[in-house]
Amino acid sequence: MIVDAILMLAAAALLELIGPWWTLGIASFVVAAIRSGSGKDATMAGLIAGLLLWLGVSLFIHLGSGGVLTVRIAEMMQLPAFVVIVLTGILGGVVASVSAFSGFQVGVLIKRGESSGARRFGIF
Amino acid sequence: MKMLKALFSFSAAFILIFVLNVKWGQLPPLGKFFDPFHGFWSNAEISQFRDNLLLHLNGLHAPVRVRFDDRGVPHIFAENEHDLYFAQGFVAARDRLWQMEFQTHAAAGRLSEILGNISLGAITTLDYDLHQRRIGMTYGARNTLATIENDSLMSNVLAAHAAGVNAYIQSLSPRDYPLEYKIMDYAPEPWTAYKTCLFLKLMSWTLAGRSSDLQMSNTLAKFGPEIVADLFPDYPQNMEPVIPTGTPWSFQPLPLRKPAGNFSPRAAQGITPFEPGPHSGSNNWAVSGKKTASGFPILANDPHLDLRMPSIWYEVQLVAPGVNVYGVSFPAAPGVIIGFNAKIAWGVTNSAADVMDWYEIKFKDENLREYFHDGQWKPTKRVLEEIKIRNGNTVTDTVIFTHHGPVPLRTGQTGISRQVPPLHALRWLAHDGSGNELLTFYRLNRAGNYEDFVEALKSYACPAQNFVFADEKDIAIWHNGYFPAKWPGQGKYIGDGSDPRYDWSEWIPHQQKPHIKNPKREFVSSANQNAADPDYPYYLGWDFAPYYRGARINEWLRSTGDIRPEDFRIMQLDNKNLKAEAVLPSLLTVLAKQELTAPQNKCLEELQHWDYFSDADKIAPSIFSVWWEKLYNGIWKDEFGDENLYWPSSDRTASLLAEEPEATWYDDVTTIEVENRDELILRTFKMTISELTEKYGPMNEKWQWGVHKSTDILHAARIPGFGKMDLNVGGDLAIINATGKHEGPSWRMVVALGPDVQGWGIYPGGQSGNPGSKRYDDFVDAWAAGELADLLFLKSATEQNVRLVAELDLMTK
Repeated sequence: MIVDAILMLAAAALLELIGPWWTLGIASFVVAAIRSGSGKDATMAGLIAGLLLWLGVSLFIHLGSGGVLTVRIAEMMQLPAFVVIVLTGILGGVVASVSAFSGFQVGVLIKRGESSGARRFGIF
Repeated sequence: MKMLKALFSFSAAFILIFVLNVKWGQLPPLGKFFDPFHGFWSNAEISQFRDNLLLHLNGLHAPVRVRFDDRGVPHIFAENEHDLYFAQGFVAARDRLWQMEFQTHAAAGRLSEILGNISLGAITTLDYDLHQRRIGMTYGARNTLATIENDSLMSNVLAAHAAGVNAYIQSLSPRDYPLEYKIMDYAPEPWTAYKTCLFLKLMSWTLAGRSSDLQMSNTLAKFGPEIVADLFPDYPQNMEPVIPTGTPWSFQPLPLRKPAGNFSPRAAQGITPFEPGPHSGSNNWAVSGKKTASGFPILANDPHLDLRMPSIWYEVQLVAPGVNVYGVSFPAAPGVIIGFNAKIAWGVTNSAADVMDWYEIKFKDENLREYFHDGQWKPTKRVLEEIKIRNGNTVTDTVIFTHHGPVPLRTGQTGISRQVPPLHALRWLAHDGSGNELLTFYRLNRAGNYEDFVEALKSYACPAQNFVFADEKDIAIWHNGYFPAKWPGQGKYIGDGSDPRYDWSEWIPHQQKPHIKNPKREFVSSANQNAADPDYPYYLGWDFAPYYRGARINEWLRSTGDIRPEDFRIMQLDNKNLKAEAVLPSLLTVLAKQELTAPQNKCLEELQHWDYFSDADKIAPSIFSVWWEKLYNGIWKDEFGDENLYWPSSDRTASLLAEEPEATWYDDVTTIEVENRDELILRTFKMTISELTEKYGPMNEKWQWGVHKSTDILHAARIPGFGKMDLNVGGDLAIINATGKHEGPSWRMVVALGPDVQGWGIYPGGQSGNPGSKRYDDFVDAWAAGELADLLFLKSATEQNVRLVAELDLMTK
């Protein structure tokens, strides 16, 4: 599960450099579909990956920029500044975990199809 | 079952992502917005200084070097003019793209397109957009564009500027969009010369978009000519005009056709208020070398506007063969608007000359197809306006045009401005394409002497300005713009739209505009007051800025010699309140005879010991300001409050209080008792003290003027957290340091002329328009403290200076 989370995080970080924000969902979906052993594992791995990735990057930017923008966005949203950072992490976590769970379910479907097909043709 | 589970969970993920990808009400799309790779986080600037950068761009003819100084000001060195304005457009867009586009969307009445039809307080975005279309903002911009397109010089300049802006826009991917695009969830569109024209119309609306014709007509109908002449004179009792009184007017004026009788317009009422802000005004002045320590002239300018983040101004130095100029520009337009070069310096203050008139139109019937003018029925023109609404239907609106201009409102329609009567046509100078304002600035940027300066002013139409000038040996001031040659009082009230004698027909010739060069008093100055004394043969308007600010400037300049640039910095911060000095002693004499409570007495003493300087740390200006408002309302509200009337000026009120204790205006006509002046003074004083006490507690440091006034700089789209609030600064509207609650000196500049020209300046903002940059507001504190920065005027592209911190090299592709 931890390995899945790391893979999701790495894949999402790479995909987000070239694609739009929802590639986070695609990364966790695909990794979960290929690797996750259970729905619970997939959800957990997605949550950890999305949370850490978005929290980590936003925290890095927050600290690196002296928080100039964090404070303004916080005031715009009428939230404390730390909530803006935490909310970023939660949003990443939720998107990745929901996507990962759905990836796992779709993966089960595809894998079943593959194995039944294999049986029918008597390859194994 | 597994199929169902997969389908269900997949849909759930898809819907979640979809929901987080779209805007809900005013909330940005949350997933897109919070994503640290593409959302708002990626707008946070990690480094304060930009790194050196080399870019290859399509559209450049030769390499351009842009050197940034420690204040973030770009110094642009180009090998030709095309590349110069291309690079100006590029760097302005790099720092201010959202602001540039938002201003032009607002000018064109396209806010609903990006915001949807939302509430803006008393009105909606659709009301606002309709208003912009109906008063002819796009009509005026199209006419100006047509003029520019007929002039190959300026059309090339605008095309180069637009190409530079577009080169920047094309380099952006959504993650690089300025923050506000992400908040409102839209994308920049290509820039055009038309957008620059739209921006110019927005400035005209801000500075020359005021009209009191309707309210003055109502006021005349209610009170009659005698009272109007007393309260609203064509020339005020107290005035030091821009061109000193007694200056001879040695020219033959044009003959004017004044109608014999007086036109009585049908008055219209019942419109919700929405006006450009009150004129807070601007100052400029220059002194000759005889009054300075260096022996060379010094010039100063501080234009007062609504204070906004990002600032309306963007500092820049532009260098190419034939030009080397430094100053402030509008991000949306090429060239420098206020500044200096090696030879000359210039500055502007707004003119309140009346170039916006309303005409009552006699239509043949309800179809509004024909109207009566000059003895015959003439056809109207119709222009279809389409307003796209985000997530909604497109609204269409037909605007009727007469030869005067647009007819913004039909019977039964209500607009958002108290100055617009239904079925009346608007004649507004900004609609004409007759002038070429950007050409004026193009020429000023290159001017080398007084003759060049005068020549540059010729093509300038609107909004009219007092252009102050100085070079090594001369000083001058021109009240400049296109002015219709009006008969006395023309356009003070609604005009008869069928009588051609009410039309604007002749124009004041350039050489006959009020101007003066090297006057005997060795200084020139302006503070938005009347341009010339009543002997000037043309009528320019009646409603100019009050006497006090201009009088204080002249008092300073008359009495000071051996002037150094530092003196002008201090002068721009001068907080002397001449209005208080004129009116307060007579008020206090009344109070001294009354029985007062201990706290009231304490306030009285505070006022008695006041030196009339509205400094931030003083309490007396707060008391006076609140008290003045109550006095003003107490005198006029009962007579002027209910109908759509024009209220007497603050100056007139001051002279009434000080010199006419027996006037009947003090009586509150809504009560049976007859109140006199002294009762009003006492009553309003007591109300003032209770109000301040209720708000801040018994007299304490919260009563201080800077805290009470509390200047706020709001974000251009009023986004909370993106402004700079609660600045503790002194000054007030009728004071040289004209800093009010939301308006004030938008740029302060002092230039010392001579063989080695030197400039100082500051504006309340920062070069970057990005709220995620430390440069977004890094000038504000210094501005509030009254500091000026040394402006770095480079002589060559290779000049070394420790203040140069980064370089942007733009190369051809």
